[in-house]
Amino acid sequence: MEMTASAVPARAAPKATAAAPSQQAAGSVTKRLGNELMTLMMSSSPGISAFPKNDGNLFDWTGTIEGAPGTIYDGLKFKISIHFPSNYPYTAPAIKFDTPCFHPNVALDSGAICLDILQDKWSAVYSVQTILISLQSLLGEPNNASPLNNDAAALWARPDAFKAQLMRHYRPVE
Amino acid sequence: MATYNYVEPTNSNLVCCICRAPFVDPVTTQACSHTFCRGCISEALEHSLQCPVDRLPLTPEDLTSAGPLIRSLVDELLVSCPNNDCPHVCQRDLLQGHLDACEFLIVDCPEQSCHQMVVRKDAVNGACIHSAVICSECYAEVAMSEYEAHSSTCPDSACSCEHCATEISKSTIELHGETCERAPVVCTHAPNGCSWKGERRLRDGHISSCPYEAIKGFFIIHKDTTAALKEENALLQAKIDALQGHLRATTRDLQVAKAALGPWYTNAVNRTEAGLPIHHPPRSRAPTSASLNPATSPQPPLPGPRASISTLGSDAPNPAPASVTPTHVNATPGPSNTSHDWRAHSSRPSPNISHNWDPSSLTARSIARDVVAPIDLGTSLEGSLHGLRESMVTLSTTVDSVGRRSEIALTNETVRLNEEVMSVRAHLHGLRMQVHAIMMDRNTQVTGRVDEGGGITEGAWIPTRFSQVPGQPQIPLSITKL
Repeated sequence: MEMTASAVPARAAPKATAAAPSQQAAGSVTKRLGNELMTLMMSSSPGISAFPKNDGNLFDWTGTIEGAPGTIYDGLKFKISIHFPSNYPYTAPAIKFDTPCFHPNVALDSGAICLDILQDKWSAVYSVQTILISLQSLLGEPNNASPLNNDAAALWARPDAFKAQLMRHYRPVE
Repeated sequence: MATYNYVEPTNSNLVCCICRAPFVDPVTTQACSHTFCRGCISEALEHSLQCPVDRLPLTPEDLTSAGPLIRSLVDELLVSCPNNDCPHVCQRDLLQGHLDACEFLIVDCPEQSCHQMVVRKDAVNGACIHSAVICSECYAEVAMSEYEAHSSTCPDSACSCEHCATEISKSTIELHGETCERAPVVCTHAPNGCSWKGERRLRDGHISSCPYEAIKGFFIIHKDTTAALKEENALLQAKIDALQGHLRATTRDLQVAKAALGPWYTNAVNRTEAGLPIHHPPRSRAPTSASLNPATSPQPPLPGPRASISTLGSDAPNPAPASVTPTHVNATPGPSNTSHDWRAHSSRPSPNISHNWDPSSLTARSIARDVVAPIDLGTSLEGSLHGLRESMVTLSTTVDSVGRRSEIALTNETVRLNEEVMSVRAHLHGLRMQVHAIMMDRNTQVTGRVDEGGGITEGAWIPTRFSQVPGQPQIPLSITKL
C-alpha cells in the first residue's frame, strides 16, 4: 500500500482511474473502523459497548463502560467519547470520560485519561475493544504512581470515603 | 493499491492485525515472526521503531517477505470487482487482469471535448453519451445516458387503454378512463341500492329498464325530507341540550332554596301539592322569599316588606291600648303619648326583623318564650311567619306595658323615698339644734355663773334633754322649740 503524506491536488474532474492516495488512506481507515465496529458488535464483551455518534461519521464514537463486578465501581456506568485521528491506527484515538469519574488516573473536570497505551505505549494492533477492556480494568486497578486526580489517589486507600466522593460526583447515564 | 472486497469471511490467521484485512504483500519480522502487510508495518515503523504486537525493537531492515505458502493463501481469496455494477468475482491475484478488461471501469469520455467520465462499455462505440438526444415522443432533450430511463416514463409515449385497446398517450390515459365506453361502471342509482355493473356504453340501456329509475322522483323527495328532518333533529337536539342545562340550573336553585328553607320545605311542598317552587313570584308568598333572600331576588321584596310594615302599623294602634292595663294608663302622664311612643318603637325594629331574618335563631328564641306561640311545623312557612309576626306584636306590646309598669312603680318608690329623706333631714335639723343649745348652755356655765339659780335649772335640764335625744316622739317638740 502506497502512503504519501503530501496530498495530491484534487482536480475538478479527476481523470485518473485510481482514487487519490489520501482518499485511499481514508478509505482504509474507514474500512478498519467498520471492521472494528462489526467485531465489537459480534463479540459479547460484558460491560463495554461503543457506537459511532452518528451514521455519517465513523471517526467519532461514543461508548459506555460498566465498573467490573467486585470493584468499587461495580454497578456504575460511565459514558466515554472516542475520536479517531485520520492516521488511525498508527496513532492512538483521543478518549475522554463524559460522565464525571472520580478516579486517580482520570481528570474529574475534563474527563482526560492518564493511560500509557493511549499515549506513548500505543500500538497499531490495539483496537476499540482492547482500549475499552483496558479502561474497564483501569477503573478497578488505578495506577496511583502517576495520578491525574491527587485527591482520588490519596483517598484510594480508604474505600468508604472514596466511594462517598465517587457517588458525590457521579451522574447516572441516561 | 485499492482495497479488496472479499466475498467471504477470511481465516483469522491470514488477517493483518493492523489493518484487520487479509494480508497484502505480507512481510514477517525476523526477531518475533509476526506477519503484517508491508504497507501497514512500514507506516507503523514510521511512528515507532518496535513491533506493534510485542514492542520488541524493529527496523524496516528486519522485515522479510512472508513465505510463499502465506502469499498463495491470501492470493487465492475470492474478491469482487471494485467497479460499480460489475458482478465479476475472481481470485485476488487475478483481479488486476480483470480490471484491465472490466467493462464497468470508469474511463474518460471518448469525446475529447467532453470532460466527464463514463464506464468503459459505453465508450466503446466512440460516441459521447453525454450529448443530448431528442425524445421521439415528447421532443424533450434527454442525455443519451438517461434516454432509456426517460423512454419508460415519457408522458407522451403511447400506451393502450386496458378496456377499449385504443392507443393513447400516457398523460391522457386518466382523462380517457372517465369517458372510455368500455370502462366498467356502476348504475347511477347505485347509492339507492341498484347493483347493476357493466360497461359504460351499456349503462344508458340499463337505466331505461332500471327499477330505481321509475321512482327517481321519490328518491329526490325522500332525500330532501330526510335532510330537512336531520336538520330539525339537530335543532331539537340543541334545544333539548339547552333545556337540560336550564333544568340543571333550576334544580340547583331549588336545592339552594330547599337548604335555606330547612324544616319548612317538605310542608310547603305537601301543602302546594303540585310541587310549586317556594319563591314563585305571584301570591302572598312573595314577602316570605323577600325576607329570606333580599339580595338575590330584588324585585319582589319592595312590595313585600312595605306591606308587612303597613299591616304592622295598622295593627299597632289597636292592640296597644287594649293590652296596656287601664291602671298603668292612669299612672302615665297621657295615654295618647303612650300609643304614639309604642308605634314609633315597634315600627322601627320590625323592618329590621323582616330583612335580617334568620330562621334558626328566631326559632330558638321564640320557642324559649311562653308568650310567643310555639312554632307549628304543621303549617306552611307563611303561616309560621304570620304567627311569628303576631307573636312579635304581642311581645312588643307586653314589653312596653312591662316597661311602663316598672316606670310607675319606680316613680311611686321615688316619691316615698323622697318623703323619707325629707323626714330624715328634719330629724337631722332637730338634732343639730339640740346640739347647738347644749353648746350654748356649756358656754354660759364656763364663762361665768352669773345666775346660780338659772344655772342649776339649766344643769338639771341637761340630762333629761340628753335622755330625750334617741327618742323619736320628742323630735316634733325640739322642732317646735326651735
